[in-house]
Amino acid sequence: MSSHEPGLIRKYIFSTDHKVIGIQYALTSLAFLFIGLMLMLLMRWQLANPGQPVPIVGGALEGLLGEPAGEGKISADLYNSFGAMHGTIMIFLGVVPLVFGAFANYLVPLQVGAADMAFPKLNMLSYFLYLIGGVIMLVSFFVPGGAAQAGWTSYPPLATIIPTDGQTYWLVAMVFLITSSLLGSINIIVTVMQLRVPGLTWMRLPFFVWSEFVTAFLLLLAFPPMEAGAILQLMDRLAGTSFYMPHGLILSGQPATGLSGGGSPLLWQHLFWFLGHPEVYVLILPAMGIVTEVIANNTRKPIWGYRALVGSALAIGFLSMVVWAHHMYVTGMGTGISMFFQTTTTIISIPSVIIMTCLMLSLWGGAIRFTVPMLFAIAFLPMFGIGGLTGLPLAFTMADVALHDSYYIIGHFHYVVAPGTIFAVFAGIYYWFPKVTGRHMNRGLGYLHFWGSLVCMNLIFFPMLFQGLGGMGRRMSDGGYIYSAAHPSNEGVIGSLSDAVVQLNGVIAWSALALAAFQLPFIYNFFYSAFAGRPVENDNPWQATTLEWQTPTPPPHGNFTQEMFVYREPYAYSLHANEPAGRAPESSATAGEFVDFEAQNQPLGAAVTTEMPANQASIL
Amino acid sequence: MSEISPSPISPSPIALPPALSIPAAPHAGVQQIQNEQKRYLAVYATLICGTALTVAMYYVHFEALWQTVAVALVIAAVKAACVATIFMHLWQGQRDVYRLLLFTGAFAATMFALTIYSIFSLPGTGHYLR
Amino acid sequence: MKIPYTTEIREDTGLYNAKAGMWLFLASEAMLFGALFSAYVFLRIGAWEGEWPHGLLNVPIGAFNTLVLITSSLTVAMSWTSLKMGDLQRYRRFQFVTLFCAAAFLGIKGWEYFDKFNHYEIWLKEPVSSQEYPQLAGHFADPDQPVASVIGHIEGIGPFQTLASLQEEGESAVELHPDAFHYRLSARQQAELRKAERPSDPAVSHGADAEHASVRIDLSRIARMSAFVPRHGTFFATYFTLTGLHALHVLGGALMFAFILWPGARMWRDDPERYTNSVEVAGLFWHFVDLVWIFLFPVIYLL
Repeated sequence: MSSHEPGLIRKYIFSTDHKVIGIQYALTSLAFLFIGLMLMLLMRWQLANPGQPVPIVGGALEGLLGEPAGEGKISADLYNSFGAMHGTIMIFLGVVPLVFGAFANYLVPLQVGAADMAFPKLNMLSYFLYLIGGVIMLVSFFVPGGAAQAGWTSYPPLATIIPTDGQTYWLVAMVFLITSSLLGSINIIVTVMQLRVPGLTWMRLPFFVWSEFVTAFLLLLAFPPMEAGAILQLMDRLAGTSFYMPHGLILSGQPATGLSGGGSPLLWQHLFWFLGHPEVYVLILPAMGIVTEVIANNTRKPIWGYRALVGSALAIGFLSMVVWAHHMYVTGMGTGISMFFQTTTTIISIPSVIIMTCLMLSLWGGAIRFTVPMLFAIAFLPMFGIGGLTGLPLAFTMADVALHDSYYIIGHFHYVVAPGTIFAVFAGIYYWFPKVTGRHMNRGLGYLHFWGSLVCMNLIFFPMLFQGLGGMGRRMSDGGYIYSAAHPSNEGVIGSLSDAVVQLNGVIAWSALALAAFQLPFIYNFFYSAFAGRPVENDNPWQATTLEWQTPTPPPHGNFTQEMFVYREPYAYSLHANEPAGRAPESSATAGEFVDFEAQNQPLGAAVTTEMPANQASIL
Repeated sequence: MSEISPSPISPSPIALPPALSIPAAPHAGVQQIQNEQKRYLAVYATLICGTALTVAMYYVHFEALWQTVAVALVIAAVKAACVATIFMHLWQGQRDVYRLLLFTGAFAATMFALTIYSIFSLPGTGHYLR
Repeated sequence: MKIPYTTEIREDTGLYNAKAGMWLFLASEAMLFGALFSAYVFLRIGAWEGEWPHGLLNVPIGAFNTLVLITSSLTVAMSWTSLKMGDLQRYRRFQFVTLFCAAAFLGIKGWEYFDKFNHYEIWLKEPVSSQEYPQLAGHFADPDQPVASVIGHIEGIGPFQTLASLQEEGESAVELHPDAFHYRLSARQQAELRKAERPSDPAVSHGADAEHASVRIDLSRIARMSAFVPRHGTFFATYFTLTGLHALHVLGGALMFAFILWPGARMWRDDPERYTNSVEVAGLFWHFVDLVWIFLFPVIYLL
């Protein structure tokens, strides 16, 4: 530990301490999640009330964004911008930095017993590259032409010919974000490989560390191809090359001029989805890791099938690299290759199901404590289940051709990331909050947040599945009104969207508003509890086994106050429930306290008592 | 590696606690380093020969394009292997690095093969390989 | 607070931290260049018949640059062994050579780029035949078959011109010097032509006969003209992108070595083991950059 205290700026802004960087990541990415949520609200308003001025914030919108938001209405171009930026912000600036930057940064070194990351300065650099990337992304709203409009996937030729500088900003920001996550993933992998404390063998790692380890590999190896793709698209936009511009391109009825042609839009899709699909597992694997930790702790029993979990995580890591083109069935790339990707895609569902099965079975026979993090973790299981099962039809070419580009897809992947990953993130925040701040979050507000979010999430995303099956396309800025039976020009047209399908937009919009409202108790709880919440009673308020709970609260610079050794597997809960008390002399617990767990660093043969605790309720 | 086991005392094949600090590797002997330098010079000579061969191949010309490609890539692969094993010290048995490179190679090969494969279903392409 | 294994080797992995980190970084770099090579092959296989140009690059210069890079790799490896033996002066001498080679590589590359910028392809509205322009003999694989575009350098107009920019400057015609490159032809056809014509090395630009022959082309006959810049076509787009990115890596590696050599040299006094390691790790990167060039050179220049 360094003897001298660094200055405030060095301590809280340009810090190399993994915990401070983790908190920086968390606050920044939560802010971006909030921005993404606001964009979603604006879009939902537009879809439910096409062409109507946005209430309350319409004027501010016009003031900020100018002509595209004229009279407070969201123009089609602006809607496209919001759509592209909602996806980009949520994925690249919100969820990934949250699950990988924040959680992994804070917890992985603690859980492997390290004093810090392997490369603390690179860690700081990684955060600031992320911040710069994020700022560039936000600034792009205010450049001529507005932000990127070609979707979060930025498909050329549209992305290249679109007359806005926002797309260039998007690409530059992506290069920053890719570099940031590259440094982050190198750091995580080296930390896990090199800095594990003695005794912490691979099969004794908490599953969360495993999930972040696999995630880091996905980021390390899958992001560079997309970076290559982004560089090529940047060349197309800035140097006038034709990497993605085919021969004979017709723009608005005119042959494109000034282009050599000879490129292929398919190339971008390959390079993009080579990242894009592993990215899905970057979003979900750490979530599974968080949920595993929370479930093990709150069921008070070892996780069911630890080895199967680890094997499945590794299998997902490998397989996720060979499934990418199932996003491209409708590009006309041929049946042979579609067949290949169809096969690998169905195979990858097996390890996912194994993980879900293990987590489900872990609940069985457990003495479940329904704490707020546990509620989120339990809700994660069926929510991710719906997300996964609705994905099955999309794995098959024939079904996918019909469902692709419909709202069904939107419903499907939002079930995976919104009530899936984001619920896991909330579980993680409620669970580790006492360690980070030394204070509990308020339980009542937590319940309110949970039940409100659960109901609203389902009211938002389940109707989308129906809308998609009812034929609604995913990128229409008027919510399908122009194709609906209600539109005057569609009178008597067979196959136009039914009123019910279009009117679901209203349900979704109100639910979205309610969802946003239910985040207010969380935001209040988060900041209030950080400063004035109930202080933790000891360093291990959840009575958890993993190493991060065996530190002072909050962990000091350098993390551990004594040398750490690991003696056992990560989830040693209730292993001695049926044994007589006082089996061995040295116990970490004070006399008479109920201890149904053994911390990983607790020497073998430590004591357990089986008396029911008087203070059991206080830890809920 | 230990099992997750419900037994009261978890089996631990590892003697605990092991020594915390492994002494830094001592400076290699002078003789060893001179051998190393000889290897470097040998690799250098190989690389120059390889480059000369590659350029010569350009002026020789084979019947079909695939022959040219194959020869050029084989020479390049040999050169690359020399650089990787000797200059980058891969021959020194670094198991974790081998594993990493194996994964990376597999992923790169899949990306390459599947991306290229997808183009053959497009009309009017692939005349180079016909 | 001390992070373990910054210098010493961890027993079960056989690596110190920086080396593990560098190998991971190289794995990701391999994916980056792997993707770019994939893109290259994808575009080339997908190219229309006759669209992919041959022989536009200067092979002897490219080969020379290969040697420069190989030499720098050797000096990097030797400098590391010098440090292992504790000989700082010898290490420095080797690293000077490395930095010199890096500068030479970038300089030659820059010259090559500049040379390309001064060459033009002109697409004509009507194809020209060899009867009309015997000066363009090198362009015709089959003398009876007219060609739609001609290639050469144009004196007096500088780089990066387009048809529009020339018209703006009030030019009415350009004087095209068809170079001795046999641009139009496949490598095999070039070889046959070369055997038939003369034994001298044809890849040296501005061959003797090319200097005399020039063709005057009226701007009104030109449909499109482009210098050999990225937007010329997918071939030059890939050439400039791949070699440009590689050149950036060379620059980055050279800066890293320069940093270790001068401002970072204090570490030699404090922790010679770690200093030696930093040279090894930077060397890994340098060898990787060399390795990329080993593939780039034949793939871009020769095939």
